[in-house]
Amino acid sequence: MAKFGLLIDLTRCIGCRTCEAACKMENFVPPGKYWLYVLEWEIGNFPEVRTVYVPMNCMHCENPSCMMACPVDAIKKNEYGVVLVDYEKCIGCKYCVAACPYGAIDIYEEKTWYEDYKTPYEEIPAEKKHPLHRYQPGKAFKCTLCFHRWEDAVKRGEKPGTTPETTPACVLVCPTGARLFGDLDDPNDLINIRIAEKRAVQLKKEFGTRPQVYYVTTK
Amino acid sequence: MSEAGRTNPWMAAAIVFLIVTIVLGVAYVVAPRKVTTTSTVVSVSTATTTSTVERTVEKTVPTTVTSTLTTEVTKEITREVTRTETVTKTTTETRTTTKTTTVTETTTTTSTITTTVEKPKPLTLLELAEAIRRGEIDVGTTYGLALGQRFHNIHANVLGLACQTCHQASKYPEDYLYIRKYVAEKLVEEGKLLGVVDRGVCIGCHRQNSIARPFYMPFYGLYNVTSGASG
Repeated sequence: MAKFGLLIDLTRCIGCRTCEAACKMENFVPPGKYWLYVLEWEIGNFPEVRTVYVPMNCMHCENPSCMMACPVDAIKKNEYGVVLVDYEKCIGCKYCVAACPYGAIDIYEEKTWYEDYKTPYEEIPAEKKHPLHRYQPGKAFKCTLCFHRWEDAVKRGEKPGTTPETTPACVLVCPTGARLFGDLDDPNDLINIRIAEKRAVQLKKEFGTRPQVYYVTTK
Repeated sequence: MSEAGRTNPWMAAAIVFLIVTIVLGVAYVVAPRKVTTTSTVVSVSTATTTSTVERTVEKTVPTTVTSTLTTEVTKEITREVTRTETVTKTTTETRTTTKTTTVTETTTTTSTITTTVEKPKPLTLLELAEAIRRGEIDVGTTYGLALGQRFHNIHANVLGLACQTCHQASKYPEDYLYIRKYVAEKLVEEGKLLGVVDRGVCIGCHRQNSIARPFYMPFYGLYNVTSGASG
């Protein structure tokens, strides 16, 4: 069984937020909502100061607290380690929003980029979208690790992340290569080699959620 | 028969008297007391009213008679038939009211001492959670975070957590160290939008092997993830 995850190298991240934009475009995320956002703060003392950027998205935890908190079992972890929301089952109670320690889940609201005008991109009917993009107002939605991009490939037995078509959008667009996508269950995968080399860590380990997104941190 | 073997009649009488006194005393103490009080109040009131009315009765001599008489005679006749009557009317009224009140008091002294060893068992949080899931404690049927919905009903109403327990403010009053905690200002002002709760607050109770339903696992060892409906 595969377990896909991400490695984010904070020493490489320059805070350009291309990943944010790519995520929004790829997944039809409405204005004001984010599946991926970049935190930033300053460290050090003058004159040796610099800014740290930390891209945050769903950690696709091995023990997802959102799944545990859901009263209707609308959140499931699939066989590839991706935590997904079933929009039909979701009742919009926001328990998952409250339980997630990473603030990764949000509630979908129908909003357009312009008040009286819908872009052709926004007018794409729901039937033509992937089921993971058929959001419902008032219900939870979150990062899918671009499962729709590599779902078919992995079912065909191909290895996701090896071609641009089967790589998550945020990973694909990162100009500095700060993001890496791979199978955490495969010891020979580049992601595992990098995690070991750079001693990558998980965020908020004390919650015991065991995130599948690792960070290479700055000192 | 010897003198010593005889019973002293005075002693026997004294013993009998003592026993009777004790029995009567006990009977007096134990027996229910009944006190009957009857009071009768009789009130008599007499009122006499005297009224005097003076009236003048005037009788008119018919003209057929006076026309034939002289003026002097007519005046005399008129004086004769006009007289004043005095009517005196006396009314005497006597009222008698009798009121009888009977108060009966019965005093019975009964004392019962019952020793109950059983004490109510305190409800643990786990049992409380199970009671909520079974529907024995009404926390509403709407799953949601808003006030009045299950989330806040459970945490604020059933568990009695104050707002500040979870919605901690980022800033304390400047003189916080100089004042006692219980007089500290409310960190969450009423009517204002409350801030997002730091998940570190939730982890205290909602981790595995803790008191509430586990959402978070310990970050060591092996885990078995099972999903299910929450409370």
